[in-house]
Amino acid sequence: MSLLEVQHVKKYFPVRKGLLQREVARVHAVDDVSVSVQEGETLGLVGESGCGKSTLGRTIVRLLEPTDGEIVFEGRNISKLGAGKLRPLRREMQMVFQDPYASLNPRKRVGTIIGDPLEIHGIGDAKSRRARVQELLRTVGLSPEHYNRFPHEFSGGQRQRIGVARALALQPKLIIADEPVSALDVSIQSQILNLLGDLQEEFRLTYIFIAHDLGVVRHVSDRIAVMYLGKLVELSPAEELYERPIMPYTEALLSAVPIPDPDRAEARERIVLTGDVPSPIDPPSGCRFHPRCRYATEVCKQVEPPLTDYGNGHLAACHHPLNVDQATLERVRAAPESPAEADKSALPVDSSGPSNP
Amino acid sequence: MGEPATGTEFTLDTAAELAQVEHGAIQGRSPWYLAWRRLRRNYIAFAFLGLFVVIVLACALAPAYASHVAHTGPNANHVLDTITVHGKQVPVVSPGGLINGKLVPSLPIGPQWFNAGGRYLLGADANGRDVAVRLLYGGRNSLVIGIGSALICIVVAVLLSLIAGYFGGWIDFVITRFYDLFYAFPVILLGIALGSALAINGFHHFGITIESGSIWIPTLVISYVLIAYVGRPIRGQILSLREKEFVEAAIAQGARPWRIMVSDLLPNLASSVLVFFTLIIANNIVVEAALSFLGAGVQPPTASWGTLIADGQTLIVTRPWLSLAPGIAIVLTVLSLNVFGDGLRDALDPRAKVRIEH
Amino acid sequence: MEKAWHGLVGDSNPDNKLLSYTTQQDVVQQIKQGIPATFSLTIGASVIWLFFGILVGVIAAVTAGRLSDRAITILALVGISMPVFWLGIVTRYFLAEKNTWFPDGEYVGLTANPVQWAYHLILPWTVLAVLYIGFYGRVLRNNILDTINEDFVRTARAKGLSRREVLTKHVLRNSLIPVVTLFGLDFAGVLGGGAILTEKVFDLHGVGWYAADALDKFDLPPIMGVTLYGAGFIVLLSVLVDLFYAYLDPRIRPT
Ligand SMILES: Nc1ncnc2c1ncn2[C@@H]1O[C@H](COP(=O)(O)OP(=O)(O)O)[C@@H](O)[C@H]1O
Ligand code: SF4
Ligand SMILES: [Mg+2]
Repeated sequence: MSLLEVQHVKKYFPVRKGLLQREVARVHAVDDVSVSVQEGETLGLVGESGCGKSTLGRTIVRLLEPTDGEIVFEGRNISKLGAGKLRPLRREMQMVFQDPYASLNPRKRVGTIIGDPLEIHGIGDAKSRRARVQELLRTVGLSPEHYNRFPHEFSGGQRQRIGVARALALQPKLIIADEPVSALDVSIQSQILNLLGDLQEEFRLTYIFIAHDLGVVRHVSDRIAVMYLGKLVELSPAEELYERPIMPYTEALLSAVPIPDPDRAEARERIVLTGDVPSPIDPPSGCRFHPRCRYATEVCKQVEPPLTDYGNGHLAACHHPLNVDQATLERVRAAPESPAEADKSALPVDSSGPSNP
Repeated sequence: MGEPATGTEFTLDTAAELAQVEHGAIQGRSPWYLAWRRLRRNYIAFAFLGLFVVIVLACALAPAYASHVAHTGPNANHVLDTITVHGKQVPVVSPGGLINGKLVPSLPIGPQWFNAGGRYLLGADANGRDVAVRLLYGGRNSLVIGIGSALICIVVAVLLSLIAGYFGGWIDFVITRFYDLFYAFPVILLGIALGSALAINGFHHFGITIESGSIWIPTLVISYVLIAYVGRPIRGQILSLREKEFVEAAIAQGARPWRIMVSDLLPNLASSVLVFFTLIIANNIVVEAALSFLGAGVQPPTASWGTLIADGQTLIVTRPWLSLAPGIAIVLTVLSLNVFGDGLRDALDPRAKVRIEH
Repeated sequence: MEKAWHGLVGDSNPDNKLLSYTTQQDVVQQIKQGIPATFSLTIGASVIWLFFGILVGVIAAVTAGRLSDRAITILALVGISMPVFWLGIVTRYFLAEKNTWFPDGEYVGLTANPVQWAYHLILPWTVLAVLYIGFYGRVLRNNILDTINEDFVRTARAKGLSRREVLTKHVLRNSLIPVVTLFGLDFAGVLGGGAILTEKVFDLHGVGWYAADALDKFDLPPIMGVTLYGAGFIVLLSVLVDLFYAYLDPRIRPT
């Protein structure tokens, strides 16, 4: 059984206007996303900023209530639980935030920040909590002497370590790290990534690691999910995704990743995505990527491509898949359609062909 | 009415970050301490704080002054008495009447400074009451009303705004409409409408009884009419704090709303609330004076700086000090609070935007 | 409001008119009679406070940190710390009573004698304007300093526009927007009876004076009437301010 199953989750934000705050439109921040996360793995979640990654993450830890769909954590549907019933579950999943400045309360001392979750859940007494916080500080590479300091006395990287320590305090199973290194200098980024890796081994953690490009997640992820405008457009084991992306959007994201090897960098074509990301209030018809896709045809404008399993746990939603051999293509097209279930099974039991002729 | 852009951009501890840049790291020092260091170097602000403290102390010592120096109470009439000035007996209020064929109005004694052994330092009013004594007692009332109404107003405004800003949705909607309602009335008019109605009958509802002459009436009226002016900007700040990730972190840990309000939101509001508090006291002292001047605030014979100005107005040509002295007292008090509040804001929260209404 | 109105009017009043307790005069009629004085006072004072408020704010901002800025800052604080009615009493005493340079209160109709109209109003205009000059000066100064540090201003400077051009074309225009909101609401407030103190002190028989006079007799209906009249103006002016905003910023145009 997977630790977490996200099934057809939607999160729409109402756009309200006027004196009576009428709902005039909806932001389709997350639109029918299904994915499951196995215990101990790291799922990378990638997409341009504004595509709904944070919203998905926040919905999973139930900072937001999904508009529709189910979130099943350890076999239990938590998508509709109220604040009271959620409280004990909060110990199991925690979040590490993007902004090292806004994520720590500037008025609290570090010891309080990390110790708060313990106090909230009534774990231990003041003395044992203090000891635990100091141990956590050591675990994340800070010093127990930092207990009485204030956040403003730390650098961005150190603050992020404090954020990690806070997330660890309750010994959660799942940690959603929402762009934990995007705000940091490149030199610091790898330190935090290494720390997260070490902690995963030590505490058998499961991660959902959010990033806005494919560069950072490469070395930390087992599998990678790519989102575009609220949709899950590709899901694949990490190495496979980098070798042969199927969805053109993934290809474009990949072409933006700097390659250390100059020969390969030379050979590769840099695909520049033109145009702005369309508004999630009124997403494009058919394939949401079509206004910016260089392979787009008429069918892409009309028909939304289903998420299709191309084997080996590699799923993508595209009418004109890249890097797929003829045999796979034919096999996939023969199968009946049920894309939502697809990512659960390794084999293309029931995927259908796209409706292009 | 549409909500005008509040523009409360809240930067996380600009003051603390600045102090950091200015002095390098100081281990374990709270943002409060760093702000204090900045404030400490603002000598002007401190000088004016000193002035305010002196005024408060002087008014607090009113009874001592009354009994040991002036030898009279704030409401004691001395229309028919005489005092000794330079060995001569002088009436406190010279009776008017037909003198040499001309109608002369009765005239109270002018400022004696220290010629009468401390009595009638600033002269007497038409009832022969010692103006200096009334100035100090009146100051006590003005300060109590100003500070008290500021306190009530801030507490209620913070509470309402916390609830509105944290829960959002329809709760926020109701509270902001409630605020809007206040903005539809000129503060002074609303104040006199409420103040005069209560001054006639007192307040006898919900098991609470306030007599018509009580200084609780102006205190409550002033705090009530200004709630929205304090509440709206505070709500704006709460809304922007609410978006901060540390609040999400607290929710993700399972913290209850109350805990988040008290331990995450309130401490981050504290600096602007403190600035507000200072400036609102200043504002409310002026509002009290205005209401009392018009007759809708403190009721006679109780003194306040506003009623003193009103009392003196009829004698302004012959005895200008009756009105000048309480006015100067107001200006000095309000100015000292405004200057100190400005310094406090610079030190604590350079972005807080406060509007004073009167 | 409807309900409050009927409560005040009472049943014994067939014409549905709000009557004063003491004089039995029609309150609406009395308010109307006060309008010329109140409008004259408000419009004149607002011209003064807008002009000097902007002048003072701009001077303080362009000389930020220098002596003139400090002096203006302190004077502005003194201005907003002075109760308007006390300032009125004092100026009336010194300039119209002790020295008789100005007429001692009262309103003269504009149509009756324009020169006397202005002459009688100079002191009240000035006294009423002082507080707002202090306010607007401070608000504008801070707005300008905030705006100057924004990117688009730096860009304009980098494009080679002169300091003066940038200041008038970009900075001042943007900094004035919040001042316009303030002005709309303050103007409405003063027009709606907020000048009660000035009118009372200078014996200008305007709408505010009517309320103050009623207050002396604890005659409630005029007070309520004037309060509702004030609310009407404020609501009207806030709608206008909203529309003005929509005009300035097409993104928030009402749909
Ligand atoms: N609380 C909210 N209310 C309204 N819209 C929101 C809210 N949070 C996010 N959005 C919108 O949802 C979309 C997805 O946002 P987000 O999940 O933050 O994207 P990402 O994390 O991928 O950058 C964006 O268009 C954003 O503006
Ligand atoms: S479906 Fe069409 S538009 Fe969408 S990614 Fe594939 S080729 Fe491009
Ligand atoms: Mg995000």
